[in-house]
Amino acid sequence: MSTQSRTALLGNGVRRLTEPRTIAILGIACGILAFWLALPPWTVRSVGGPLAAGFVALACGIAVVPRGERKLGWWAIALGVAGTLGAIWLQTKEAETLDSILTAGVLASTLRFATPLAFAAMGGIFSERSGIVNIGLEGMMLMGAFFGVWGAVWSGTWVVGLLMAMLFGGLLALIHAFFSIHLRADQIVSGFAVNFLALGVTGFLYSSIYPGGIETEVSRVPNVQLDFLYDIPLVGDLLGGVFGWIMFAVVILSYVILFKTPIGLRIRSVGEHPKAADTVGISVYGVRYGAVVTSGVLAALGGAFLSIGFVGTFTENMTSGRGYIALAAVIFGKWLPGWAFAATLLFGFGFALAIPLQREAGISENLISTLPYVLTLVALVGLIGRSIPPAAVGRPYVKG
Amino acid sequence: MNATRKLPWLLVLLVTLVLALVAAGCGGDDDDGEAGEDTAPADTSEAPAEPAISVGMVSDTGGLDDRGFNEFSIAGFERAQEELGVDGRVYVSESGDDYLPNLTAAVDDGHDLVIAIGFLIQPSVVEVATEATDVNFAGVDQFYGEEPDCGGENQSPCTVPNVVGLQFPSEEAGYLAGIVAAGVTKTGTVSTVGGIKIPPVDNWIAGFRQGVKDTNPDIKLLNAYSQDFVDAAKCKEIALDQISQGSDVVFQVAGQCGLGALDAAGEKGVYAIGVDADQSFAGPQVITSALKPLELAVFETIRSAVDGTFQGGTNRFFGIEEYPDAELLAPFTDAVPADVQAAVEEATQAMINGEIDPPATFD
Repeated sequence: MSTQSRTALLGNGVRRLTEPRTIAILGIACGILAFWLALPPWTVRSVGGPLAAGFVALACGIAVVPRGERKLGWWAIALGVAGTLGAIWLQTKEAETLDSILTAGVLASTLRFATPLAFAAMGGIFSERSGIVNIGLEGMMLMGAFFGVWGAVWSGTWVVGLLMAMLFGGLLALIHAFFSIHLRADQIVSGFAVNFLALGVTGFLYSSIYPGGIETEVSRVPNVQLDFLYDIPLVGDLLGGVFGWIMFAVVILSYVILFKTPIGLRIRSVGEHPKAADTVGISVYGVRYGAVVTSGVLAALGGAFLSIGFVGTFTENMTSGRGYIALAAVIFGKWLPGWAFAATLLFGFGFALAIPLQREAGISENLISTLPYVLTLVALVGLIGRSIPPAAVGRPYVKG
Repeated sequence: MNATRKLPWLLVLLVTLVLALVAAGCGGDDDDGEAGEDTAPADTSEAPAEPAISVGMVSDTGGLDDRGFNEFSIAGFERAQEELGVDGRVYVSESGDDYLPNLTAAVDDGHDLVIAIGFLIQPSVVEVATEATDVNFAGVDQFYGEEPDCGGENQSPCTVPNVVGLQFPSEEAGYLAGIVAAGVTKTGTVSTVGGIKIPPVDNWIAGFRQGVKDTNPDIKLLNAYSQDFVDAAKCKEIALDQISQGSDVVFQVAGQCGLGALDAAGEKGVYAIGVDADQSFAGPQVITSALKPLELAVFETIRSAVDGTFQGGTNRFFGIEEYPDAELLAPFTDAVPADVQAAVEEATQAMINGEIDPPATFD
């Protein structure tokens, strides 16, 4: 066999390995494995194995469903969840410690990790669907986190905090929009510039406005107590707070606006073929400005969740990379709101799971904390099936 | 083409953006810097008799107002400015990528003494100090080993002739915090939230665990790391997890990230213990804080440089034996009963006398 044909064969093999179908089958296998691990001959009595296998199954499923392998993908998701839960149920019959890993707490924690990511990811979808890459999500979240606290402290109420967060997140997005739309700057460079701008501005303002840190009690977004719901186990934990409700609403609204309204059609057409859109009288610049500013407002809400929603304080660079993970979720979810949300849940699950795993399974904390980031890498490299972005994304439009 | 004709105008805007970035990002310290540079040449040229020296402080990440590490190290510098008449400036590290450029800038600006804050900056200090042999360096929370237990695979780098490592046996304050935790727990479970698993973090935790065990060996100890010093949400999640496992005293050893752990304790109505500085601002759940005499260490180091006793190539310890008056715990709240306070007092004396020597590491 000549070397040429051998490399061709190898290339083919690799391609076949990364086909959605193969990935889906791998996911299904992992789902079954997750359950089987709890049974003889393995009888694994640590929850790490089944959880890891179930996790891979879920990841495979979420990755392939929007890429065409609907049936097999759903099977992988279902088997991943069922297999893991089944394995854990089997194990809890004997060992009590397992109870303490997959608790309602982990699910609630998953949702809390996913909330800021989901807001930013929805923002990212709006921006990218209109043809503007938004790496600046991170900075916009950070603006939201800081100005949320600032507004809440200054006015004494979280409502103003949220408004301020949205205002300044939108303003930062406007800078990004101006550079990438009007000045046709490289959108990646502009996005990074905006991130560093936010880091500098928030850090500087934080130390000049609150030289000794934030001494006063920060007004926080409350938890709406719907007693009849909170009495239900699990559900009560999951529906914690106003922010959770807003998040679900934003995800659903994003889908409806993008795919069921004329506005969404305009956004998408501008992102796919701006020239054609221009020809039929759509203002390409106008739509793009609107979409980018919307993305800033949404990302800022995600940041505000961190500061006035969850921890009640601001720390410098407190978003610590969530904007980038949100962007990965956008790509992972193929620029579709529902799937991007699923991706944020997956990342959130990775973060949340790391905590009890570190406590119980005795796996190195270094290794565990890489879990969500490994996923991010996989998503960004696009190994699992190809993500096809909106056709005109990243390309400035020159009015003809 | 339209695009090429627009190029100069684009360039101008890019430059404006960069300037805006610089102004926004470093605005606060630029003023300090200019002030420092204005006065520094005057010192060296016409007043050789004056004892004042110029000091460059290179911060760690997490901001200057972190109510912890940076803030209190810099407080020592500010005290030295007032009492010893030294001048200089602070170089802010926004991320780990800033360590090396900041240290290099501090050397280039002609400071006599460069103080680098934090454990993570240590490799950069070694790199810069080996080159800049005429400048003295001090590393807060850094340890420099002796041959053959240093460099290469070993945890600490070898001594450098012009560098002094400032060491804090944090296990001592951690030990006392452990006694407090064991004294106030009702559930019999207490926990620690660590930042990145590095020796300066583990020292606290090791002392804390020993303090708890020595008081009551039946108490269950939980420990987890966030692998982060800024992400308060992550530390809050970890603390919530520990509280759900029954912990009713949470000791945070994670800097800014740990503020989230204190918040979790407040939300769930359990006790918390702060770290590095008095963190009672976080709420009444913070019954005390384990302290590190950062201000003292930085001040003493600058003083040694001013009066000419600065000695490089070694480590200086700021423990209870060297400085028995240093405060190791912040004032207690009413939640700490008198007998627990007495036990803390007793243990402090025992440590001063050398009867108790808490371990610096744990399994």
